[in-house]
Amino acid sequence: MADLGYFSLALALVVALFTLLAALLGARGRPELVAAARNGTFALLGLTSLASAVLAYAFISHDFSLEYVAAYSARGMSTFYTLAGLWAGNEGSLLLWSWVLALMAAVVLWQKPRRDFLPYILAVVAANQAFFLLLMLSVANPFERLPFALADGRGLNPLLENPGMLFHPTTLLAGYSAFTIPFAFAVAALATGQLGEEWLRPARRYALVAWLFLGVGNILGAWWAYVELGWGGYWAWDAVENAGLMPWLTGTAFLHSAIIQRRRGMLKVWNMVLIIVTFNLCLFGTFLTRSGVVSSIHTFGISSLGPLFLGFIFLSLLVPVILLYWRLPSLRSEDRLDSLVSRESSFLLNNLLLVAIAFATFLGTMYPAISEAVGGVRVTVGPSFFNQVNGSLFLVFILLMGICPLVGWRRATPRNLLRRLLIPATAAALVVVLLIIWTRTWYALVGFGACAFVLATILLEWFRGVRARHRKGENYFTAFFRLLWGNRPRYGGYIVHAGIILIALAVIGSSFYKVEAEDSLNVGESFQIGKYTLQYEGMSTSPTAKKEVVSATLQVLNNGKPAGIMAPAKTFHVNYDSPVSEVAIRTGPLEDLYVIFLGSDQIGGLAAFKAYINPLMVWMWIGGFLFLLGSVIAIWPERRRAPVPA
Amino acid sequence: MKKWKYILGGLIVFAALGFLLYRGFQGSAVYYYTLPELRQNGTDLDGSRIRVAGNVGTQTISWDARTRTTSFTIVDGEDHSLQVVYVGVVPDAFKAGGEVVVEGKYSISGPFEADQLIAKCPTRYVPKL
Repeated sequence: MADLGYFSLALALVVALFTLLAALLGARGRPELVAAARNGTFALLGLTSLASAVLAYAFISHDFSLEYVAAYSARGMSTFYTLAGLWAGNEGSLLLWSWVLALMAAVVLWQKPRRDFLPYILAVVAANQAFFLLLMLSVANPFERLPFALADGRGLNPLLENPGMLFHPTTLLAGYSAFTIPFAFAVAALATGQLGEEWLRPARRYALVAWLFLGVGNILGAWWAYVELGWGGYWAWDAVENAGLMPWLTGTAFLHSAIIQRRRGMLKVWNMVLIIVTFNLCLFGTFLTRSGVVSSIHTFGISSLGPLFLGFIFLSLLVPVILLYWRLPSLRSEDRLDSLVSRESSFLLNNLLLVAIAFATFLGTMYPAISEAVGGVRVTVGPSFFNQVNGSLFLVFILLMGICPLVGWRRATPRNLLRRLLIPATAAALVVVLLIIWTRTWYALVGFGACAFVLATILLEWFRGVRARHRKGENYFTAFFRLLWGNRPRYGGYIVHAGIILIALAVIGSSFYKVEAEDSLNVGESFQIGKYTLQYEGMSTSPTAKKEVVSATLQVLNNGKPAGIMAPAKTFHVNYDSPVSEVAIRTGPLEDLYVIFLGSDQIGGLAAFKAYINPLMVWMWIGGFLFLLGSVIAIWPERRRAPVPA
Repeated sequence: MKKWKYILGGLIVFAALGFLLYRGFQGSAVYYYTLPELRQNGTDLDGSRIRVAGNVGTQTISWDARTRTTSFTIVDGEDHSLQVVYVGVVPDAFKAGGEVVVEGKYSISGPFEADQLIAKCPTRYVPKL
């Protein structure tokens, strides 16, 4: 059975190479070869699906003669987590990447792209498929057999047994993989010389899908890191987190600058550069995540994936850059910026900021490797570097988010702009004045003010649209939904902005106003954190065959009034030597109370706890939901020709 | 539209970014050593803030419930070792034999005082034998 999986991968590699060749030859006006490449692309979907199904079956049927299955699953695990083994390790992740790409390519074919683009799109997809299949057939074979079948597998690390394991790695990987498609459109545009609307429209649509996956993957990662102890809060700026953030940032920049090109025919080269960079950051992110180069001190050289990946990234940069250089003369802007105060300018600045944040993140992440290569010493930068640099950049970015939609295209008159700024600016000022009463952290004040400003501009924009429709005789409710549905990209975009603002609120609140307290208590003793008193009531253990849960009971008093019980716990697994912590979280609209049970002494008398008050955290998840909702609305297919998104 | 305005604007953005990077860097850049390197440069590094990576020595972890202090030894393949004390929340991935990165104050005479402890995200794990 497993041999069938390996065989389908081997056959897929042959098909991918054939498709690549047929597509490239067919591009020179031989439609029968392009048709063959089309069929090859569908065949790739069939073969990668078959391989994935075989691997899934191997997991379900506990085929421990396969090394990969034995390494990531065991008998007695729930079906869900057994299947999570499919992407728990390198080999499976690569297969998932390949399968998602095959699926996306089939969707592209089904949508019937331009005839002259088709061969190049198929060639780019096939080249990527060939690379990933080659990895799986050489250094990361998911169907690798053990010399003898084991009785039981190692199982999944209990730390990973969390719903996050089902969605976070998959969405992130799907996002990485899906960015191949807009990149393929860009290459096709460069190869054919059709450098306008023809490539940008479909590329932006597919980029939006990939970007949505990446965004959701990052938010889920943050949520998982928040509820599971061991990754240091919702965002620790570690290399793997940054790997997922960077393409999302440059992808965001692309989504915005594509609008400018569509409206004004400007920034053509910049858009090409952005999509090329985004795709390569996706490859790089996959490489960082799957090779473990960063968390270990021995940079580049630990996994056999390293050189292959870097070589492929080099190719993926080289080919489009050569094409881009060759096409430069025909990528002249059709128009120029008329005024410094215009929507184009503000978009450009927002783009620069996003790229700057991505660049700073890249620099910080890679600094140990860079400093070693350049100076022979390893230097790392900690979270404070990222917080300072990116925090400041994000602050300006948020302000712009509010200003951008208010500025007119081409040339905004300052007077007009000031008039439109009046209400949001007043709202922001009000918020700042109100907050000054209880906080003097100027940085946070500016941040909250900026958030208030943006939210006000969004609500105002929405209100004006609804009012205009209401005057034409619709009731408010209908007006609201027709407005939204009538221009989905635009209003979906606003909802996304609102989501990002809520996330920003949570980040500012939890960064500047976090309260910590820790203590070691005997039964009956208590400790204070903010307005809460936590009283230790006792400990209970519930052993089962596979694990033992030790949980501590804490009585919570809010301003002296009883406010329920919290029970942080530690789970000791029989075959895993460090315990898994279950933090206890009380979520409220203004703050989370977050308690960790650190452990107890041998006799069981003294128990140690650490508690945090994390202000505004719940808004991060609400904002994440809005981000998802707004993106889906914006992506929702148009029946006919779309109105140009503003 | 005059080009110089844009060039000036771009320059301001880049200068600001450069300044931010420089400041952020000054505040948080830390040298990163392996145990053998530490042994070579040990005396020069006395009292400075550094980052060290290695493996947690088996049977070396001890935890004190009263002071909430974790002490352990970092080892590498050879015979190098480094005593570490750490006060704070220990991530779940931290375990004997696992890879660990600590950041804090190094001193020749006493144990390494870590205030940051990063345990490698365990995509694989080896069961107890």
